[in-house]
Amino acid sequence: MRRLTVAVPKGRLLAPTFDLFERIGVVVSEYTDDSRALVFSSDEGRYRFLIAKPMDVPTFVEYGTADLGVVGSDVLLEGEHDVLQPLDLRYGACRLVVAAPEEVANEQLALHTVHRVATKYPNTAARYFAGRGLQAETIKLYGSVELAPSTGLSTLIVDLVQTGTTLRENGLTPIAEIASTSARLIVNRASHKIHFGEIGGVIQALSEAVTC
Amino acid sequence: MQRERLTGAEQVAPMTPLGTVDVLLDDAVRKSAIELSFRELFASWGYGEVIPPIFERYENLLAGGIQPEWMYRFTDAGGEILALRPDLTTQVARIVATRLREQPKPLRLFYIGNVIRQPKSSMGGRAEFSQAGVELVGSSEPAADAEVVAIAIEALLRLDVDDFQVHLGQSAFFRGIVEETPMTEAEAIGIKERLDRRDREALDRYLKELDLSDEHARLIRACLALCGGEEVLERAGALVDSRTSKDAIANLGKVYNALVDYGLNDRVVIDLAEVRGLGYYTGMMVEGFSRSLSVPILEGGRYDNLVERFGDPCPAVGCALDLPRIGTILETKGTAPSPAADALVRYPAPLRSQAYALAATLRAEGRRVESDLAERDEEEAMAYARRRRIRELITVEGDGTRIVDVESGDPRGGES
Repeated sequence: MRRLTVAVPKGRLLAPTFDLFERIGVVVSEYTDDSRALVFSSDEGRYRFLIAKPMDVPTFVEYGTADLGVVGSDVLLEGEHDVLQPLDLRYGACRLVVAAPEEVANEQLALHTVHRVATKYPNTAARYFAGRGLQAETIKLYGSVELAPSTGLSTLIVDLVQTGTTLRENGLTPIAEIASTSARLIVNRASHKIHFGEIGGVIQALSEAVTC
Repeated sequence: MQRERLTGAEQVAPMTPLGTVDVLLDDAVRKSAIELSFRELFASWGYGEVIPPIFERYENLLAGGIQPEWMYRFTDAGGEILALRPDLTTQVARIVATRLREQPKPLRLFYIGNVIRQPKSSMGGRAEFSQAGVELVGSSEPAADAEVVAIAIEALLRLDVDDFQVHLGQSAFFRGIVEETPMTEAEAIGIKERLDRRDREALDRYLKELDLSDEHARLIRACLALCGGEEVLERAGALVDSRTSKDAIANLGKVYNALVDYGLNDRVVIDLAEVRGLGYYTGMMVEGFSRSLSVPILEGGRYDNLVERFGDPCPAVGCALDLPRIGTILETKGTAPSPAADALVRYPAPLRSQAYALAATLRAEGRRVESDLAERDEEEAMAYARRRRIRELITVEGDGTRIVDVESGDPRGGES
């Protein structure tokens, strides 16, 4: 039988993802925190794990390079990828918020002529503002989004917030929540059909591991 | 002879439009071989070829129910809106309703041609790709559905593609559930989207919001598991009360039985969880998947209302194979035919007419022959032949021909 390939995201979701698979009996001893390799096999050889940038995980799954993937739902909101999303894995919970400097936070958003919004999520941000009839100009950044308002690059930011500490330390405060996000299991459409029983079994096992 | 070089300003950037490809050499040989194989097969089942134009009135293509955002649109000098075809079935429906209207039914037609769509990642980012399809028009019999599925399976088997399966769905199955359940069109679409993503939790949350009865909610949730062998039909039958859904199941059962009689049911999976498909499908839907490629390689279904859009009420069913993806499978299997020539003929200038005559004779025997253009010396010609994987170097000499095996460098005896 063919091995199933799972794309997993580099970064904060990686450790809990390997933990979760371990709970359903899939152990990847090859992987250690300081590994530089990007491909790992599970001990029993049934799974192959690809370590990818979070934004790239849905791409690997959509094109069928990976059968399964784990990724934050913030990435799925942003990308509009054609993948199945059968399971909320619950961990990595965050909020995707609109945040503003404290002095702006009390003003009425709707009265600003144009909002300049710095974000790693330009599509999601544009959709959010357009959906409310607000005119916003999105500025795509790849990191340190909190810098944008204090340096005059933007008036607002849209960013992922876990505890809110980083926002506070940069004088920002959340003014609206776009979505609450968490890790999701995603599946390639064709793989789901071809390996229906097998992938169905994995989804079932993960679902039990997540809820217990 | 030295040619003057263009200056930088006269050159153009050699970019191609997003999603387009040049099919070259090995790939082109493979594509033609696949087309030939399909053409022979379709003809052997009594199907006749149609070749519609590459563009069409936009309005006609819209009538097919194809998503408008798939299409490249443009206008002619008179302001008429035209579009490149995203699909050939709609064109076949137009042809059937007009020029072939008086022909005795059922009509068996096939096409091999390119479709052009705005590139989307869900279509593999492709803007243009070729499809080969069959359309069986004028019959609503399940045997007609089974025939097009059987041809599609045979088409793959003929090419020695063997690691594939086809999934049969029925668009009327879910339609029946929607009809029986008190919900708006928008709510039905909401449910469909969540079913389509196989998102059980989002589906549960949505069903709670809609305040459906437990029984209806349970039924909709159960749809997610309706994929597997023949027994799925029985399971599905036990779930639904809707006449439409029950008819859909019975219809799919008959299609399946016909495929049993073709001896092809080991390739078939019943998949009632599938709720999408092209906008014009009204009954059975089919999708094919290869284990070595995680994308559909064939797609089709019954479209009983499409021909009527062009003025002739007439049931029809069809199926299209995705040529480039099937080409990729063959390439991975290493079954590609070699495009290299069998022989290279070189000659001294005074013997050119003999050399041309020899090349012509060999070609008439079915061998692929290149003749040298300049008087290359033997060493140069050998180096070239080796790089091109040409098997023999034939040198025309005053007293006959000398044949050298390119790989070994040894002379070959006998006339060639």
